[in-house]
Amino acid sequence: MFKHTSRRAALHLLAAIGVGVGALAVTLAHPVVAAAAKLPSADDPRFIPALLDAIDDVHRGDSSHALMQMKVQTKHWTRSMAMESWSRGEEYSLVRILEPKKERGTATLKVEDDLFTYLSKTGRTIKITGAMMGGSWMGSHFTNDDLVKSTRLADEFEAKAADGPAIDGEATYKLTLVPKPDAPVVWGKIEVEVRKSDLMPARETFYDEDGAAVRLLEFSDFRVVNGRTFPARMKMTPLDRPGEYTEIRYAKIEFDVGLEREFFTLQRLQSL
Amino acid sequence: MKGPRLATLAWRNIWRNRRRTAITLFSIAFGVLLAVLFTGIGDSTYGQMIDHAAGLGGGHVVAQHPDYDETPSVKKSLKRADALRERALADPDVTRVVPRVSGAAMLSTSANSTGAVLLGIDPQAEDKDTLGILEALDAGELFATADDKGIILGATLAENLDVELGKKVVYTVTDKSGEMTSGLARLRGIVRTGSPTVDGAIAILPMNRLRELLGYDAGELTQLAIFVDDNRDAAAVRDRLAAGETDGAAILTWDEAQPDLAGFIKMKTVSTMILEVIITVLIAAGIFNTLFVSVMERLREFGIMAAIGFSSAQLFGLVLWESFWIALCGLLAGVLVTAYPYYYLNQTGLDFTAMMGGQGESLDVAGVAMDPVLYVSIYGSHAAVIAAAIFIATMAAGLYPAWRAGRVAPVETIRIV
Amino acid sequence: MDTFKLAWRNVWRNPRRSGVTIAATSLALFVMIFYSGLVSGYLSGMERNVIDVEVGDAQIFAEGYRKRPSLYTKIDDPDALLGRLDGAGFKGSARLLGSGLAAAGDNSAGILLRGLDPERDAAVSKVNTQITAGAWLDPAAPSEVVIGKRLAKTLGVGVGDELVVLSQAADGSTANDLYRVRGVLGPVSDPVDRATVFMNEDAFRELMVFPEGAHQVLVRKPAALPLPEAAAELSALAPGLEAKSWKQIMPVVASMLETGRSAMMVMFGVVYVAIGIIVLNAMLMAVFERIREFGILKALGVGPGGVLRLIFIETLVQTVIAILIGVAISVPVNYYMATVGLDLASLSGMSILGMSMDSVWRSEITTQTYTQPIVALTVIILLAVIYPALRAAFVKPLDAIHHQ
Repeated sequence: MFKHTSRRAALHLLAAIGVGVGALAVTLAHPVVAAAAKLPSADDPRFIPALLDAIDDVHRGDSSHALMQMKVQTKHWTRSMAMESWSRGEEYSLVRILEPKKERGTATLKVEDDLFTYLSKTGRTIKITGAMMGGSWMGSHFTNDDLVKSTRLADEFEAKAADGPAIDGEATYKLTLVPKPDAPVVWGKIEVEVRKSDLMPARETFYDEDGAAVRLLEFSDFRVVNGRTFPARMKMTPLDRPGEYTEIRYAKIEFDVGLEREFFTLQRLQSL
Repeated sequence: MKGPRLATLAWRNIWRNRRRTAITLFSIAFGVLLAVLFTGIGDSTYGQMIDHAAGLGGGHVVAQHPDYDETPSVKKSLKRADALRERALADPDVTRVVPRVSGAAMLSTSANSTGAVLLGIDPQAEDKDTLGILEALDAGELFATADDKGIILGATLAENLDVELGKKVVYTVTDKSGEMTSGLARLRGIVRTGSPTVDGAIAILPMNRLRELLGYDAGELTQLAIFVDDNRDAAAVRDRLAAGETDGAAILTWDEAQPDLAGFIKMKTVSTMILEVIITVLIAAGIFNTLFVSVMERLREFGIMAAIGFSSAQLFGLVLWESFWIALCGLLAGVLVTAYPYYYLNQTGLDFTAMMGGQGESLDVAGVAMDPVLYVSIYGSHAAVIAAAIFIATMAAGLYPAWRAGRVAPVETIRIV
Repeated sequence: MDTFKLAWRNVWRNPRRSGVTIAATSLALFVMIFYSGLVSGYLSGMERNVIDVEVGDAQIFAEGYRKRPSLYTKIDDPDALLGRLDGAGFKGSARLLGSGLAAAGDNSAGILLRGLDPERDAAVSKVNTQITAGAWLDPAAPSEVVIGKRLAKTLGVGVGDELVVLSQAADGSTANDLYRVRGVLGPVSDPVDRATVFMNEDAFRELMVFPEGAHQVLVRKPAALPLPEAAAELSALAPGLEAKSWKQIMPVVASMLETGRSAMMVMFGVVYVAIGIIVLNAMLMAVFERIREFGILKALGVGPGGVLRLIFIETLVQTVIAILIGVAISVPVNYYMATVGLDLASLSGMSILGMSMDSVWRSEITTQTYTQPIVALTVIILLAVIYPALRAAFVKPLDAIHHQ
């Protein structure tokens, strides 16, 4: 559909870890201290499942409200958008464009597995279905599909853990995730580097079946707000397209803002 | 004079002017040859196309949810079609009954994602006769079972997804309850039909895998494809099946399900028919010409026959008997002239690719591939129609000359001399 | 002149016999004219559907567009290219291509966008004549679009209804706008019917933030220039771009039409042979019947040359009359077939390789429709009469008198 940009991005994992922008704000809902406390020692057989759960549950939290900037760089253009987002857990989110002016008010609503786009210029709402799911989300390197996928890592991957390299001075575990034989995952394997200190993912690399890295997802600028740690900067690089990337930076984020499910309605999508 | 004697007289009469009779017989024979070959080409190629189309489009007769055609969706399924299937298998004209599951999907690989048309098949029930695209299998192989973990893609689709044999393809569908679900398959085969619509969109999956993903029950399906031996029986089979228990399915013939192709075939058959009518008219005109001239020439003879007691009816009958013999001998000559060319074209065929200067690429019409070798094979009923048409045309051409002969009066003829 | 008078009198001496011969030849001529109109109507109908409406004689793309279509793979200066085409006697129209999504009410569908300048495009494409409801694009109504018939059905819209087009603009922004359906096309081709939205060039540029360039130039060649030469010339006129003839763009359709053409020619040959037979039949009858009369002429001292001349002139007189009658019958029939035609599949339409074909079969009538059969008939008649005429010319008077 959007054949000029349509690229399959990080599929399940992206959304599961909370990279999908809809769920992004909630990524950090998980109290760091609690996660670290629950994790068994590295040689315990329960270590890996616990680590996977920790990553999955990173966005299992309450509501959030954020302001952010998304910068998309492609071969043909560069653009920056200012956005405002609301979310509740990983199931509900609403993202709205503030800048540029031309697109102000254009918004995406995710309610469980459904995705709607409101077009401010024409005042219409479109439900994203079928082949449109493979289309680009707001011109970024993420697809609409990335926003709605949600499964648990332990269901789809066999994981191995080892010590990873230090990233930005933080020691990491390096998780190598290999899809289970029947798991509907396009990747050959995924490497996730998780910070030992707070179990926050710092870097994810996606490989195709021939072992070539095709996607790189990086988290940085970790900050603490309301007692929660979160990466204020996230960058997605499609390695098969030199020079291209999508970067998201948080200007402001609040947690536990008390949004109920009823907040995430089509009326809200259109009236923002 | 009685009938048989008239017949004998007429027989002798036609051989009195051998040259004229030979010319007439030759034009009839030529007409038979043309008509048989053209009809035979039509019967065989359109029959072939219909069979191919049946293989692509769900059989000669297809049973599906009544609303499927209007809005195709996996929700428009047949919960069970056992009764219908039993009845179809019991029908004497039906050769095969094959279940199908079809729908739309998004396919993804690590390189790309794109939309596709999904077709779920039972590999043990299908072969090239029921699923024509399998003939275009360019690389790889068919699934072993309905639970196989493979997928077969159109060549262009595989290219767009940048996927090679053995590599992963994730397919995402909206299941029966409206939820999006995904499944994993490995590329097992590539089909290259030459039709952009097919090669760019088709994805074939083993039926049970697709059923599982869509949330279908074990016997649930979207189409029941029914194949008959002779495509002309399709309408009759449809009527018989629709008359009994259908498990809630609508039953359509291939031309109802594929009106585009039906339109094309109709255009071709109409053009063959026009040509045949033209040939028949021309030949009838030629026969009329000979008979008429031969009667005019023999007016004196008829006058004398009238004078020695032949009635008008007998003279009329005599000339009609002459037409009859000419028609009969003409048909016989036609059979003799047609036999070898027909046999040759029926057995060996004519390779059209050489004539077209192509590199053996297959032709396709409305997404249906055509065999580049042209065979001739005529339906028995069509052959009978041709024989009858030529016979009737000859007899009709003889009517006016016969009437003219019957009207002859002794006085009038003597005056002509 | 004497021979002519004799021939003229001979023709009318036995009006019944001449009548039969003339009737047979007129019928033959009528059939030839009728059939030739049908055949050229069939052939040009097929080509018209492909070339006039959808593909053009040739197309020019930026290098690589055809293999992997992208909004950014564009012809940078289409105006200069169009200028060069005009200068070389070609006609061209630049088109802007894109893809996206159209939505109306609860329905949505993936679409192909085609932006064009209606005025310029009308010179190269007859797609504007395929409108079945509403009207074709008008530059004065920039927010009105024309859509394919199946797309209209999928979206559940008709003339006057609104639809939203959604895509990604060249600058990465969300392209979306509201358009009113100005017209719905009849069958054109699979992609057009199923997915295409036609819009004015300016509307496309605004929607897609695509200020300059074009993706495709549709080209019509001068009628006299053969296709391969035209393609070669276009390549020279469009350096660095990809110029392809329609046969290169749609090789399978081209070979399909080629086969159709040869099949039609074979049938044409068959009809001619059938006509040859009836004419031969008529001539054999006409001459052999009168062999006794020719014998008497020879007995009276007329040489073989004189008899030959007599027969040929008689034949010519009959042929001219037959031509007049044949043409007189053909004109109204052809008129009917050219204007009304045979509708073969009014309800369903038909398609070949995704190219929709007009299901009404109309004859195509030019002067050639008449002249070729007339010439052919005259030749056939002259050939057919040679054998009996020679027999008559060299018959021995005595044999002739005994001739049955």
